[in-house]
Amino acid sequence: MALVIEVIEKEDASCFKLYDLTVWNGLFVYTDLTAASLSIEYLGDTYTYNILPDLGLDGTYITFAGDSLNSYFEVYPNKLLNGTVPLNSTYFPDGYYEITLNITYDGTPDSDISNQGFLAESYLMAAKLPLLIDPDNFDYEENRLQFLCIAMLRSATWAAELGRESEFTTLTNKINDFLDARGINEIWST
Amino acid sequence: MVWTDALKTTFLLNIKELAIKLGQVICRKSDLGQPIDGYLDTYYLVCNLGFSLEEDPSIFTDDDLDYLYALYTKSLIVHNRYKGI
Repeated sequence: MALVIEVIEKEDASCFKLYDLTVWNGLFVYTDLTAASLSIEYLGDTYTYNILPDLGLDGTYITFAGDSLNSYFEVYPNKLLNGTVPLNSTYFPDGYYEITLNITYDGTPDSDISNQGFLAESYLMAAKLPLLIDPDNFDYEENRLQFLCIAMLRSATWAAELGRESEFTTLTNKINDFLDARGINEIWST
Repeated sequence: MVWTDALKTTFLLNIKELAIKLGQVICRKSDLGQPIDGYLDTYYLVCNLGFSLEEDPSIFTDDDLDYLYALYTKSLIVHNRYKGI
């Protein structure tokens, strides 16, 4: 058995969903999970969160994150601590995150790392780009560039998934330049 | 060709790698003030392949995937031919 997690940011960046994709040896035995904590690296700082008390496990659960394979545990930014200092935010700022889950199950420690590019705000900003639907004044070049922005957003997400932080940064800097040049303002990070 | 789940996963991974590389080339060209038009169509194609496979690879038949793989290979060749220019 190897611990496997999946992380998906919520569309409004208010939390991320933590899925348990582990193939357990038989059903997950909730009483055998004696430790579970997250370690999240963001912009050089490390934040931790002991999730075990908040999992709310009981006898009906078959994964550590919920009562079915599609269940998940929501992680909110106000639960994260850098030492004793909380992450003072109600949302996850866009950026590159390295998320590690450490558990002790049946007396054996295990962990899994998920690299993530959280880009919820950038996606919403890109959605505010004006639709170019006037056939008489169609700006073909601008239309191409807007598609480029969307493709770069997805490429940045892929770069983060594959642990390519520098490529992720290059792409997101270019996306931010593109949105700034078109007067698209930040939605919640201003 | 018979496309197993493992092959589809590897194919998607390769597409993501190529998309990231093409994205880097476009960023670099743009920073240098050089034209990027020649890269855009290939970049869109590769990204769209990635979007489609990531969304639901089960909608594609083996023949579809053979065709998509040919498109990917063509894009990869184009990238390798022109990278660094």
